[in-house]
Amino acid sequence: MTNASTGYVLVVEDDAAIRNLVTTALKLHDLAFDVAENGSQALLKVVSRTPDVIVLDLGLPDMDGIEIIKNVRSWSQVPIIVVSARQEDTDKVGALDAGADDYLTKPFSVDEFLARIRVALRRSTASKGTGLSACSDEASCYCNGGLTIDYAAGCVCVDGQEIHLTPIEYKLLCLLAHNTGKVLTHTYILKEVWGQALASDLPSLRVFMTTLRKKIEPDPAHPIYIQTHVGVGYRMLRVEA
Amino acid sequence: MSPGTEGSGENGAPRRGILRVFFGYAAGVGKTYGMLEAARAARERGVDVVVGYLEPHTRADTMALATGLEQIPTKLVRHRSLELHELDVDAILKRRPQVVLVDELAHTNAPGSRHKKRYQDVEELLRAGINVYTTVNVQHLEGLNDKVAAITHVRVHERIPDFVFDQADEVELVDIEPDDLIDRLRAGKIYAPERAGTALDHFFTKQNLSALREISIRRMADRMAHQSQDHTLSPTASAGECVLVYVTADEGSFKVVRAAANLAQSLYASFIAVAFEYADDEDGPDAKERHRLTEHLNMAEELGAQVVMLQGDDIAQQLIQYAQICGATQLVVGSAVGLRRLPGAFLQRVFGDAGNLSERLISGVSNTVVTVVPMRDFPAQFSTRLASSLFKPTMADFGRALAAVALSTLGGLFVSEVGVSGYIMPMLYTLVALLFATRAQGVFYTIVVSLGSLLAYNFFFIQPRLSFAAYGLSNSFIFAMMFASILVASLLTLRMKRQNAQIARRVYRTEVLLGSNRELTNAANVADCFRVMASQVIKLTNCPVVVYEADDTGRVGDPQVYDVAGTASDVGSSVLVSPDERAVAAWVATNNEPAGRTTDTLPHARCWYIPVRGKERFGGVIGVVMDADTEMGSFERNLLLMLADECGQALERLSFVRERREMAVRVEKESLRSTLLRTISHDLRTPLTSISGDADMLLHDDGALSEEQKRQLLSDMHEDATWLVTMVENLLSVTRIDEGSVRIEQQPELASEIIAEALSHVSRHASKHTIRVDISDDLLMAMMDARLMMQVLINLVNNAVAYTPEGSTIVISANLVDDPTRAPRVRFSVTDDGPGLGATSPATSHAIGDVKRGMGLGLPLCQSIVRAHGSQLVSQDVKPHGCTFWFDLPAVMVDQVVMQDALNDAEEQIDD
Repeated sequence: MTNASTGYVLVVEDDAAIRNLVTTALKLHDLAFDVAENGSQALLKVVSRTPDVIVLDLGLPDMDGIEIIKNVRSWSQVPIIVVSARQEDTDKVGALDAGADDYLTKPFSVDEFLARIRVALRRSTASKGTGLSACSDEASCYCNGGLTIDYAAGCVCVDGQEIHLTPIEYKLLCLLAHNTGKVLTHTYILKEVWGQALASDLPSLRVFMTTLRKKIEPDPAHPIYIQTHVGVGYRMLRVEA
Repeated sequence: MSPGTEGSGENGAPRRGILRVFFGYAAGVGKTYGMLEAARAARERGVDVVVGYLEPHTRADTMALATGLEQIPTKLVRHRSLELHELDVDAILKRRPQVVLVDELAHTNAPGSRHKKRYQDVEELLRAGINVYTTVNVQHLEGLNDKVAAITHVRVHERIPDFVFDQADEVELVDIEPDDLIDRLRAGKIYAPERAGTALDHFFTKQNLSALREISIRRMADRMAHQSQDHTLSPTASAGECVLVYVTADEGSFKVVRAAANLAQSLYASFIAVAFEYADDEDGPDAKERHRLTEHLNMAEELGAQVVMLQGDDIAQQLIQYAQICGATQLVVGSAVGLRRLPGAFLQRVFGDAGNLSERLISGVSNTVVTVVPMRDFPAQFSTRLASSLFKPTMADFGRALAAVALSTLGGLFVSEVGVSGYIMPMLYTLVALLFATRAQGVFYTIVVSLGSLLAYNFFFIQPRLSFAAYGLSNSFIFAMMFASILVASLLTLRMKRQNAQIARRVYRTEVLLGSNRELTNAANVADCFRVMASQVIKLTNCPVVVYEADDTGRVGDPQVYDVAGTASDVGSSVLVSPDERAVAAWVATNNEPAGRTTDTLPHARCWYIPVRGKERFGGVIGVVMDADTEMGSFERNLLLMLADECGQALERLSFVRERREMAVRVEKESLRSTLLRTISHDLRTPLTSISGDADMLLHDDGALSEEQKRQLLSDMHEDATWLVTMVENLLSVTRIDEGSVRIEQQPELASEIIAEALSHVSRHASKHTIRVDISDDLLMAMMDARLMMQVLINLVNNAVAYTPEGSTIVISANLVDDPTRAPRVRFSVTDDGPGLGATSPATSHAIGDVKRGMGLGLPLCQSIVRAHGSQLVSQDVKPHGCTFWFDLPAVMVDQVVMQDALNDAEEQIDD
């Protein structure tokens, strides 16, 4: 975890106990951080400190977390991890659609929290041009574990083996790859790939996701690349080579 | 009368108002004065009293009493060149006083008003919970009309039905000595002096006044007697006396009905009015008579009679039979009723004569007193139904008769040519006449055909032929017998035909009624009920029907018009659903009384509107579209009302069923909640105790605990906390379900994804079990709320893990259930090879409710989640050992379009 220690995390959380838990965990893992106790403070610190990752509690006393996401997204692409005590999927989907990258539901384990931070930091540094990608030309090529996409040639290889994808599967894969580490909602995927987000298209998405997985996952029952978020959407995971 | 009585209705608006009548024997006795005094007294007690209507020519000293009382302005109605002041019902309903004063209850409203009569306005006010003070003179009572007219020689046209008076809550007799009244009149206190003179000569004679006074006091006493016995005029109330009156279309029949009503009242008897129905095919000059009969029957109903329509030709016989069936003790008929003009007693015999009706009745009944009311002072009216069409000569009948005679003659000529004996001729004539009689309409035919046959027979076949001359005694006998047999046989055929037609009508109605009952019972929802009702009403009346459905608050919604099948909508539907018509329907809905055409309330509407109601619930309003000439008899009306009641009951039954279902759901939820509460206290307390205990130990540790022990305590705390997290998750799901199924958002989900996700959440103890996933098809999809369904699977697997020994195998499977008779379903099951549910717990779904086996509220929760998805969680033992829990969810078939999509996609790829 040493290579990610350059990251700077802003924790926006009003509950002292959770704040304490989160900051202790960050401190233990040598991650630099700052805390904000409410929305306005958070917005100030996002502007002044330009953090690499924002951990945002949705239930803030002074403003709605979704408002903060929208505000930040209007000028910055900094990864945002939403932390919510709310169970309802609609809240998560709302936050994700507003521009959040990931979500955590309370109660969460410290390990899971740190894992998410790492993913987000990697996204953050990758977008800054210092990515871990083994490919020399990030724009024309995508590498993730054994998965490679050659955008220019339009071909996909898994563990060096070229595989055939239908146009929709290819589009789907590219969309997920492009947003590696980010949870994409069903609505977002449908809009991007099918051009419209109709509930009746949801079965199609599921069908194509299953066929895509069969082609790229070593074990489709335990996927390593594409993660399912029940009731929310899918995410391409960064896989260590 | 206690002074506080009207106060009892002061605060209960929805309760019916109290009607207080000031009753007097003539104008000027001081009814209005008494009413105003009572009003002032009430106002002093703090009652909210307003004046709704006072006669404008009220005397000055009386008017003085009214000053200071709030007056509701009267409504000005222009009728032709007259300006009429009428009671403004809507203004009073809006003002909602506790008591309103309405003078002259018997007043007839100006044409175009909502109700024809003022007492109906007052009814509406009473229904709205407003108490009414009003005044009535004795000569305005319908039932006393004849008596009063006989004394005073003045017929009063403004009358009220007796039941209004009898059902009034309080009646106060305003009395004064006739001499004093005459003095008052002389003093000009009642009428202007020039009118007072004529009044004194004609009406206000001492004799008249005394008689009127006596009648009114007697009537008052009758009323009190009725009240003390708590006796109503309802026809079924009395077990003893029963008065049966035969109502006809004769003008004098009014008198008969009144006499019978008075009799019924004084005997405390039930009161039945009987009339004979007119056949449908009779119209033309009949319409007037039929209308009059309807009027008479309506009056009888107003006087408290139950109306019964009979059918048939033999009036006397049927009356006698009916009187016996209903146990009538008194039978009242009018004297002019009869068929006296029928030619010959013979015809009367054949037709079941009503000629000497009273005599036949008297000879026919055994235990019934027959009262005959003379109707001589009314223009004699030839009035039994038989008269109208049966005896009407028509060209068609004449033609038939001629044709019959001609045919018989031709046939006769033919057979005589062949050489057959001439003695069969009379038989031939009789046979042909009979055949044609089945088509004939009236008696006219029988007369023409018998005479014609006789003449033709004589002319063609009796020697000397081709002449009317005949000789010999035997010929005379033959003629006489031939004439008689043709006449009687034809008449009987005719009568049978008419009876058949009547029977058919009755059978049809009975059929419709039974059919309605059956269909209404089968109706699955409210809309069905109304549809059935509308179609039955159309069958019965052949009129279009408008239906207004009421919502739960009793307000009527948008109308729906049902046309008679096969007819283009000749009545503009826009007229039927115009705001005016809707207003009538709304009135019916609020007042729960029929209104519209043919009634006295809002008679200018296009439809007759009847409320559809059950015992407690108001269902809607049905309007029967009527044309100006549609006459609706009492029988039809009662039939429709009965249908409406039946429909109302069906609606009520439906709402009961719905309520019961809702109740069942509530009970289900309630039991879940109580199970939850029972388990929760135990399930939460245990881990919390252990966490707080362990933490306490760690906090106060002064080095006594070894590293190993500390680790153990910490790991226990962690485990208990994780357990609590699952628990809280379940709790949250329960709340979601409790909030109602609205929160269950079902979406097509892949079985494989859900199962994989669920498995990633099962408890850590599962590592010692083998968990296998068995999904028949990766693309298997089902409708579900993903999060809740995951919860179910997690709980089921955790449950299996907790109750099977280490090393057991748990199989989670999802398969398509192949059953062509039902919609495709996906069966999810969790099966283990542990000890099973055991013999003590029967392998039924009931075992699921057994919380002792489940992990806390896990299983009950699973059951209610699955139920919320419209399915059932079933548990079974499996062989050789172990148990399985399974449930079905509706499968989402990967739609053809999607598959096509995928195929196209694949083709494109090949093209690439």
